[in-house]
Amino acid sequence: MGVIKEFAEALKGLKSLIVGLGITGKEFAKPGVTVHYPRKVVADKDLVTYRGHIELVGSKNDPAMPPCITCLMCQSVCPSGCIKIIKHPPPKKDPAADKNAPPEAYASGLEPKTKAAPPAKEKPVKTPKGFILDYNYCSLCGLCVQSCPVDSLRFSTEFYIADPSKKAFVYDLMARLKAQAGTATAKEKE
Amino acid sequence: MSGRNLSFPKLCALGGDMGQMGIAEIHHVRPSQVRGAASLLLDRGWFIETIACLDLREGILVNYFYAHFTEPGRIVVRTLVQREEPEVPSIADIFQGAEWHEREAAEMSGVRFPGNPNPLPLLLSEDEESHPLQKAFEDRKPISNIVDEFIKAECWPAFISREEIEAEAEKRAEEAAAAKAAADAPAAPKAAKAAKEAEA
Amino acid sequence: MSVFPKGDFYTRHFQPSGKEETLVVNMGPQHPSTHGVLRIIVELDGEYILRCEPVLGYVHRMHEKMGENRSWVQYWPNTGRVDYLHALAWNWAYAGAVEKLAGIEVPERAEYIRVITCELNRVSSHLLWWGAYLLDLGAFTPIMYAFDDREEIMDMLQMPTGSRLTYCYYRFGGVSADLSDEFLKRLSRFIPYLRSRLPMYRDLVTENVILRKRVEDVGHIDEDMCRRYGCTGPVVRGAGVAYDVRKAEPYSVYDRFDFRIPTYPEADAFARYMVRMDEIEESLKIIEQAIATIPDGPYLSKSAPKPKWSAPKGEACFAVEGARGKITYYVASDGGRTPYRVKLRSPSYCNLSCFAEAAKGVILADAVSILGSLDLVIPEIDR
Ligand code: SF4
Ligand code: SF4
Repeated sequence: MGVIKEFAEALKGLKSLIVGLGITGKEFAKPGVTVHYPRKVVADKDLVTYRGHIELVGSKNDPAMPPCITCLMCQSVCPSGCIKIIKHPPPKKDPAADKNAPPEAYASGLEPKTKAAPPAKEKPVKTPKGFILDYNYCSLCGLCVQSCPVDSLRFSTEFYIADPSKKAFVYDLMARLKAQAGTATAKEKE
Repeated sequence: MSGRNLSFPKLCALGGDMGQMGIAEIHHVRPSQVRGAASLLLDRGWFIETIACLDLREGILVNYFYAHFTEPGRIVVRTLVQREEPEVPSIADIFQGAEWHEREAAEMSGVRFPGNPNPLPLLLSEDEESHPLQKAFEDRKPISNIVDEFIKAECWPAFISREEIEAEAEKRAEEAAAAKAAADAPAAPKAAKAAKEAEA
Repeated sequence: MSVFPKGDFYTRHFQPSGKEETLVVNMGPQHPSTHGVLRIIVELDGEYILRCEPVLGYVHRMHEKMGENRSWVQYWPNTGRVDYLHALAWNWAYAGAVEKLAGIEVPERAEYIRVITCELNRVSSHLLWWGAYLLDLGAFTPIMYAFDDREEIMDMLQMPTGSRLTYCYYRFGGVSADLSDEFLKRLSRFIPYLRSRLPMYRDLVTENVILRKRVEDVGHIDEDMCRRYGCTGPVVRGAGVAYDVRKAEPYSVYDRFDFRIPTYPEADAFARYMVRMDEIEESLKIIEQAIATIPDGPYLSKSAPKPKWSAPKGEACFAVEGARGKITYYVASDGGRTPYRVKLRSPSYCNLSCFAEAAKGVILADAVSILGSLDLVIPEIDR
């Protein structure tokens, strides 16, 4: 009895091996599914959803300037602390303009009917002077993009980045945006 | 439900809310009663989920989380140990899985579990002497900052004196009254203004 | 005798039991079958394991302390990096715990999106485990088949989440991006395709006599042992207990879907293998139903917390069913800017803790089989 059972088992096992081998043979005949990088690359349409490092979006009227209002929200929410925004220094008070300021008496309520035009105030520049991203520490969480009140940030689809040095991953996003705007206008001209 | 209605020696039991906080029952026990609770829970078919320690002003709160394979709910057995003598008897011979949880709690929060068969550091390096999850003094909060049931004095063992608890409760009541008064305050000028307008 | 002490701290503590002719061997930390940096010290008597002890902590990152010094919102990226194979379940557990604590409503569509993406992630996790387990057992090619299918899932999950592995997709009160129609279309095409692949998997591997010999009757972990060690997930379902958090403590919209909890009473490595293979089918079933009934609406609640938000005081616990078992987050808050305490209960940690008992007296080669059948992810164990 035992011998027959063992034979049956061995036969069943052998059959399973042959079935498996059959599948392997079938798959072997199929074309490959891998992409032979760098001779071939992934199609661009598969990259549109990829979230690479963040980048600035150009504003409507000036593609080289982001709509960013330097609220520093992204910088403070970033868990890895990899965004550094450099603000424009606040406009300097012009001592000459101070002289033109209305004398103290006016402030007491005895204002003359014809008010002198107030000195032209220099608008503080809201756009950032520099926008530095240290991609080495970015965890690609998307919190900065989500928290930006004016949608000034988005993810790039930068995929092919590799460098032996850490320094290569500290990006100046303002410069990047300018370069992008430059190539875009150049293309338009063509 | 056979698994509930657990009668083991304890200080007090509080009902939790599975829907609101994910904990069905909270049992406060003395450190010496932890083992009794564990063996009863094992008898009733509960398994240990994890052990979590909270570093508080009053001491270290050791939470044992239990869950059941066939019954819904989660039971937390918690005990408070003093910082000077942070010792809870080990339950590693009842729930073998607790051995690792205890080792982790020991190295992270500095609670000792006498009776643990293998009290070596588990996750941290072997020569690490600090306990990373212990907080700096100014970061430690009293338990009343986290749970409201602080007023239930019998839940907390004798080494926090009853007076202290009551003083805390009184203070809280006063604060609540003050907050209420503050909330009422802006209403008063408004009423006065309305009266003035009516006069005009 | 050299002046330097022999071995390291753990080997010195792990003294041979005094029996003659035993050998203490380190398996790991860089051992191909441990899928990461897990080290197991074993004492061998010939080829049989007398006793063993896992040594952890090689990829310990202290997620719990990190939770205490960053704000509630800033903790998000950590949740995706605990278990990199089923990251969305960890995302979900954290979201659920904090939503419970603060009473944040989640829109219906967001719940469906969570179910779809989380189940899809579970399938990809099981596929990877399948390939890697067979790799442990000496079969190289299956992982290539698994990766082929898994690649498709990763491409799909990349569409809403933007990443391929360590997702950070869920948010308090919803998810961070909507599912596109293209995603749903592609997914409904993918489900029948993967279903048609499953018989192929069965013929290729499950029925294979060599695999059967390696996994059947190996590594008994029965119900009692699961209870004492707190094993959950496929391990306890392989011991015949139908324990699944999705049914036991139904969270989100899981109670609306019709699915089965696969259980196998044999409690051996093969039972755990079969549980996972069946779970792929069940997950596909859930996804199919969810796609058919997904409602329209917002994907993020209007009352979703702002970046500088802090949770109200209190404590909350939330459990979800991960690919490896029960994931629980315990959060305690004092109302401050950062969590007061975040506690992660990782299923692999508890599942591995029973290994020392399960591997007692087995052949060293079978220990590899047991270890693989537990489906360990080392970063999840070490946290
Ligand atoms: S994606 Fe996250 S980690 Fe990266 S810069 Fe934005 S906030 Fe910081
Ligand atoms: S990018 Fe957005 S969030 Fe960051 S500073 Fe500019 S406006 Fe604020």
